[in-house]
Amino acid sequence: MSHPRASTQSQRFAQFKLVLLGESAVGKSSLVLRFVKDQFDDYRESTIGAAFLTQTIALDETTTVKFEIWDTAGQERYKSLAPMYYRNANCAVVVYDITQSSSLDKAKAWVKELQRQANENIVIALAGNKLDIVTGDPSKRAVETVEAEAYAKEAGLLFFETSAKTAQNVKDLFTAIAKKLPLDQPGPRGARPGAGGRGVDLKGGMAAQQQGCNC
Amino acid sequence: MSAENHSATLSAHPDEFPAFDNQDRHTDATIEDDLETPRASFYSEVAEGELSLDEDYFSSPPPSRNAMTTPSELLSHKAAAITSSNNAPQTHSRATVAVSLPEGVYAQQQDAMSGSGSVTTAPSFSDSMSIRSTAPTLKSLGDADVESMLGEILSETESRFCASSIQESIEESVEDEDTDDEIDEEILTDEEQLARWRAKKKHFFILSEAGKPVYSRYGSETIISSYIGVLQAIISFFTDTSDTLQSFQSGSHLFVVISSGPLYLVAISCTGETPAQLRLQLDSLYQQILSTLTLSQLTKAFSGRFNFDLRRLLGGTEVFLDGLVDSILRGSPAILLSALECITLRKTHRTQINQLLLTHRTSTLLYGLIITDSRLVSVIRPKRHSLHPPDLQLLFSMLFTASTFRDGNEHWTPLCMPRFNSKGFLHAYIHFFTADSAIVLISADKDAFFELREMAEKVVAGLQETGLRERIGEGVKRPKPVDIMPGTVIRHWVYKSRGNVQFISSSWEGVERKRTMVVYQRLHAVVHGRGRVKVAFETAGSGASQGVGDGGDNGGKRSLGQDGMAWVGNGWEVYAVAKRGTKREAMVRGVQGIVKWVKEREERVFVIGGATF
Repeated sequence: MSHPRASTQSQRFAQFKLVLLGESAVGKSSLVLRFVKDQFDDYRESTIGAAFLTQTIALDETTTVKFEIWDTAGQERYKSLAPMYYRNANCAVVVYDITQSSSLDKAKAWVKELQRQANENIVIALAGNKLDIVTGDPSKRAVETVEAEAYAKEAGLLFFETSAKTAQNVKDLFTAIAKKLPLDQPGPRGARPGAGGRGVDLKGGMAAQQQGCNC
Repeated sequence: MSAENHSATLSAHPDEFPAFDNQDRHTDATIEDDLETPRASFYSEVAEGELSLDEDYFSSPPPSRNAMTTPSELLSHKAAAITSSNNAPQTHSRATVAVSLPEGVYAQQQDAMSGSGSVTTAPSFSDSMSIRSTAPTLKSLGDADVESMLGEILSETESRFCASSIQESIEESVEDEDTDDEIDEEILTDEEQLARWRAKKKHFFILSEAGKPVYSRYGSETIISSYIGVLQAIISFFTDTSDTLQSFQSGSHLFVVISSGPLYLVAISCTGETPAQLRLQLDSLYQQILSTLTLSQLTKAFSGRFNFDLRRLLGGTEVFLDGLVDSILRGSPAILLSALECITLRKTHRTQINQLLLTHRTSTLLYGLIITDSRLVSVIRPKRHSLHPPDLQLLFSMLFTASTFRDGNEHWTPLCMPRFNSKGFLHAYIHFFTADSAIVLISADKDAFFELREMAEKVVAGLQETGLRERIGEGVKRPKPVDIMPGTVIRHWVYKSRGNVQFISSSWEGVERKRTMVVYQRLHAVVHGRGRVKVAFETAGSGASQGVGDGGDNGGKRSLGQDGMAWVGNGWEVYAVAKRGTKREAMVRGVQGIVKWVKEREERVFVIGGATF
């Protein structure tokens, strides 16, 4: 970063599909809003369906990573639509609320589903959100860091406790994911030359949709 | 999925879209049926085939006429719309005991299919109606033209009625309801919360057949649960006797019940609507639930699980129900008139916008819409599918009454358009490209997001390049009555084109919206009542509203009553208000001016036909 834009031939640009999953009201949209627009709303209405956003980050002077993000709704009724968003995703952020222990159970269920049904090489990060609340009042914590961390380690996940409100660890979370993604192997889920890709390919969702949908 | 055309897509999913073909013909008439729309009115200049927004809104268009001449043979000395029926049975007053309501409960029982509830209301309601200040005037005038017909009306003695106590309560409720939502309910004690809850002039409840609360606009669960239980008990009392409770009156409160699918929807109001008008409001809430769940999911949720808590499935969409209710409380001409509002655009501009949508249309697109400020700018649709105004109303309400979609992001959401097909989801790409303007692209293909996204980008870029975006911004402005007719006595008006199922309203600036809507609501009840009245006047009461109100904290806002007038022509209806005590002659002249003004620019103020492909 100290270099003023040394123009090299080895500029790398990669584009990845990222999906956010987790129980409703754990702060998925808030994490994305912080990451993409560096903003925070105290009151946010529930996501309906899914929102699509993009954000580009520079990993170093020569490497740029663009995330195409599906911010999905956490409500039960959208459960059957999830495969359409995570199929072909390169990475996923599974979010829970560190003040609600049940939300970690839900997150674990998502991780399990991703590991079973999503892309084989999907990079999954576990994010325990609302860190600001327990910073202010430690008694509000319902999920101990060590507990979640141990689980993440065992399941092979990246792990961060985040606060969309204060921005704590949000950038780090996405940067860590970018770093773990296979930048050097071009291919369907790796680095791609230039933009213009079609993003998350929803077409693949058909088969699984048949069983899960129409409930 | 190959998206050559929709039938291909759809035949692959017969379960999802069984009703995709023109089967939706039947459903449309229902709303208007509730309102007892006079059938003898269909705007002649609109060729049937061109009607976009709803060709089938009326079951059978009668022979057309010159729109400016009202068929006066329809006028007769029939009593005004709200004739009382003193035959409402009181045999079910046992229910009274169950409710412990202060005054007698009169149950209105009738076959769900038989006609308008507004006419067969219980005695106490009709009594109060008869002293309300609505004074519809009917004359049989042979073949006289409109001028002379109105002339006769004008020469009649003006009949003014004193405001009844109900009217007072209406006026009050119209005044003060805005103010009380700002207090944080949590700091209040239970008693205070209950008192505030009880003080609301209007309540909407949704409950399951088993009596589980599904939705209430106001009140915590602890407050509402016992009331829900009582409502369920009353409703099921009638159900158990294979009867249907439709509405009953208690004191100044009218209770209206509709049973839709596995749900009961209840409105409790003392703001003077007719049962038919309240049913329409309840139906819009029901449609909102369907748009989230589809009828299939809703039915399935309760099948075998009588006690299912539907809130689990509705989570997150309460904001849309709240938005609908709030716009009803604020006064919604769209819901009252069952029509859409458009923005004003030159025909060439509207055509250019349509063309932009058509040019970039993708193969999976079903409907493409540009919407601004809850109003339609442009719509494209396949030739063989009409687009139903109630579906669009829902969409508009979801887009504009909640902040969910208004964040500038791109959204992809399943959406059921119940009038189109209540059993399946469509998928909507929604993007607000300015703070107030959205592009909505709807497809039956759930994988169409990226394709539609690309289309949206091109359309939005096109709007920008051609300056049409600015035109849209300019078209949002509603005219003031004096802009159209300098010096007119008319303060506000709405005009509905029945053929297009659209309305246009003058500017709400400086107009007391709620009060004005109450006037329109009364006039609407009269012209849609059994009498098939063509012209009706509403005379403001004797100033009952004076001195009541919101404590004078915004003094300029408190208004006195207004006089109103409704006029139903062929294929259109117009409602207007003027200052209290305005001469009818002046009001009639104003209203005639409005009709003339609108007729001269129908292609600008309405979307006629929309673009098809």
